[in-house]
Amino acid sequence: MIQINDLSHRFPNGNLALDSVNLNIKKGEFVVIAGRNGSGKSTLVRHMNALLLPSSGNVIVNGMGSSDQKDHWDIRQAVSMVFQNPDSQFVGMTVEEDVAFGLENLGMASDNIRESVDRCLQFAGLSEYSKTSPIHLSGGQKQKVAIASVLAMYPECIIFDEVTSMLDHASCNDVMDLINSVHKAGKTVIHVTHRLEEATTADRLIVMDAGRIVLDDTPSNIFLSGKVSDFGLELPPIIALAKKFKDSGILQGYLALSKDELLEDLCQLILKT
Amino acid sequence: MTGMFFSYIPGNSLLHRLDPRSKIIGIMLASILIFRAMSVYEMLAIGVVFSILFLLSSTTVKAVYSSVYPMRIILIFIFTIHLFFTEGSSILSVFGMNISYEGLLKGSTVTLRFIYLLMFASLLTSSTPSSLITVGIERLLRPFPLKVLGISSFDLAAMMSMSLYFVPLLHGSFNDLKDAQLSRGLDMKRHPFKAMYSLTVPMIRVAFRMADDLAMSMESRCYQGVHRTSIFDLRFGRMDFLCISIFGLLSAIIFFMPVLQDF
Amino acid sequence: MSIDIKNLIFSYNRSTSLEKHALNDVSLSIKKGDFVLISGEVGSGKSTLIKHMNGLLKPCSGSVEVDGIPTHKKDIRSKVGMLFQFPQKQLFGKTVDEDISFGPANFGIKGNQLKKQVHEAMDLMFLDESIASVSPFDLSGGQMRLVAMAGVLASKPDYLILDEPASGLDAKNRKILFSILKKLNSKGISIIVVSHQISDVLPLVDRLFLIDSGKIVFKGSPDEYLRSTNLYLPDIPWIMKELHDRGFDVKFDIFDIDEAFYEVSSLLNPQKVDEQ
Repeated sequence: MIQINDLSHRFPNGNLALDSVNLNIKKGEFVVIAGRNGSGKSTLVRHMNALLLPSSGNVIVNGMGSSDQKDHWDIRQAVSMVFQNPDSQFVGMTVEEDVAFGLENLGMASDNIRESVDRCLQFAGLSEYSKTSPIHLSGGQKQKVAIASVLAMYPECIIFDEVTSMLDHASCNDVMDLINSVHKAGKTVIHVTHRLEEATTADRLIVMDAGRIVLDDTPSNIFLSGKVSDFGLELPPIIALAKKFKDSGILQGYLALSKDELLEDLCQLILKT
Repeated sequence: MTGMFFSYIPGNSLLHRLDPRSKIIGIMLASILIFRAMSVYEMLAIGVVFSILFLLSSTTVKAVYSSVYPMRIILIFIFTIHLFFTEGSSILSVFGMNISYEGLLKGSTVTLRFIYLLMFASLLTSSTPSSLITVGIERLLRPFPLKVLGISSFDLAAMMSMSLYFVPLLHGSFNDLKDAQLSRGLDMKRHPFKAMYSLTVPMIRVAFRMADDLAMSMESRCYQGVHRTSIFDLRFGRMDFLCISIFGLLSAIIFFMPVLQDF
Repeated sequence: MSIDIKNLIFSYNRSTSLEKHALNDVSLSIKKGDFVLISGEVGSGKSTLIKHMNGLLKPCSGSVEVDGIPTHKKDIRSKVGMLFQFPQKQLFGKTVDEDISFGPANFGIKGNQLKKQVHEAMDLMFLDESIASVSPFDLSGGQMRLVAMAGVLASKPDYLILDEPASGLDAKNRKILFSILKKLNSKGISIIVVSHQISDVLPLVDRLFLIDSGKIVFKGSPDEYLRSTNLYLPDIPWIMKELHDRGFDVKFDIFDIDEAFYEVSSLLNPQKVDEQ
């Protein structure tokens, strides 16, 4: 659904943010893009919905090239984006108005807007807040409103650009649950983060560094390769421990990716011996 | 108390059910009357109209009061200015300043006008959620050629609703910033200029950053500032026609009251 | 030499209808040279608590004293440095040097002494002397953060409070930050980290305070914390504790990955040796 050929991006100050990136994202995939601060991951995804345009190379979304200005609105409708800062992406005075904003732009009739808005708020578990001002919500709730707002536009693909980086632990889990259910509902999901624990449920993990894609594989394979630390990232403690057991041959089979899995594996192993 | 200042009170009164456009037109008519009213009779008539509307709404006296009360200093100021600086026959002398009969009359009239305005406005805001007021204004402005000024009624409506969310947000950022600079020993009394500088520069950056983020979020949700619909379906119903007609008639009577008196 | 808080009660919008109790009978003491973590969820009152430590807020009742001086009597801000979340937002100077000088100059430091303190602060933050004359806004986000931190350290505080210092940092920068904090602590500065996240900072601290709905619900050493039964645990101690609770003979006050690995392997290995 998204095809990126030889994409480079140079900022006005001369810095090369992306250096000949090639990438193909299939419909329905759950892709996590990880990388240290300044690795180019946010710049890359902003090309996927035409918020940035290539310095060279091209980006093709559903057969439409982002270089053609008249296709921008269609591209943005197919590929929506949720941003990092929970505070500065609200347009509406109440939660429901914010969710309606995109549909109002598409010129949909009031009744249909109302119906979509209610459905999306329900999906995100926010129905009780529909008349609340976003300013009274917690950071996690704000991000869920932002997710409901893009869901309302029926995109095929949603990009989550570091949406969890300003949240606390509990809200972070909440938002990740919602992202997972968005994927289960059939959307293509692209999640940008520097927390690798958020990649455990993804189909594919892409690691970026210095404007290039340096790793591209399943999360388990990348975790096992032990290469992430070369690129300024850190394995979550639980996966690092699981990997240690696997590397030393004590645990076999799949790499445990959650604490419950690892505990189960260890218990079985101890009981066996 | 400040929490009640021009805030919406949920309800289902006649005023609540009217189309926001009717109410905005009503307010405009009322303002014209208020600023034209000179005589005691006209003032009384406006008071009667307000009372009728008040009874038709589920607004409380407290809500109206708390919309006027915070303005008391300005009101007292307006009154005093007219009281002391209007020429006319002196009735009292305070600190060598003359208070004239005309001053007392004019001061009362002008102050009462402002109070009326605030009261009518509180009827609108207490019976209409701010979002509907915005949509109402947008629809009323739509036929006007704002394009000449380089904006659309949609831009205007979007700006209005965003500012309502942004002002408290910026206020919060400002307080955070103030705490940060105070922690670095900022002394607003001793170095007012330095204090201003150390607060405004980062504040402008924060505001720009927010505006930038917001623009990005709007753009990625296909905002183009051209024709858009609304989640709120405004219906100008029979009741609206009826109310506007009655209100129009009443206004006309009060408007021509001075002329009628001559007969 | 310590920050002493006794029976602190604080509410916002006092005696109005919007009155909100933020802190309820909080008592704690942080000695000079301590490294402590204050943790709690968003809205638990931790930000309100630290704002009392440098007098940004004054207690409604109870007392806050820094080195024996009550914060409502005298300004103690030069003793207690405070770094807020995303501190790069507070930068304003035309040059890095001007910005870092702001704090100490406000506290009355002048001339060569001022130059010396700015220089030392930059050194501590690994900032090169060559950027002193550069506008802070031309720097990268990471460097701006370091400049902001230098701006607080330049006043030579005895206590340094950091609100969510690791938020938005990647693994590598987080490590750098923590090593800087350790270094500052070894120079005798008290470090008070405020964070909703426990796992990252716990191995570094002497003591931690958990705060919930304006009350301190736990105070003690990291070991005591790990041995407590009903509190949220980071993943590694959680696994060890679960194993322990299921009757396996493992130590559970562990958060180091290697230590956990060793502990579990040694449970497995003797038996493996027996089988052979």
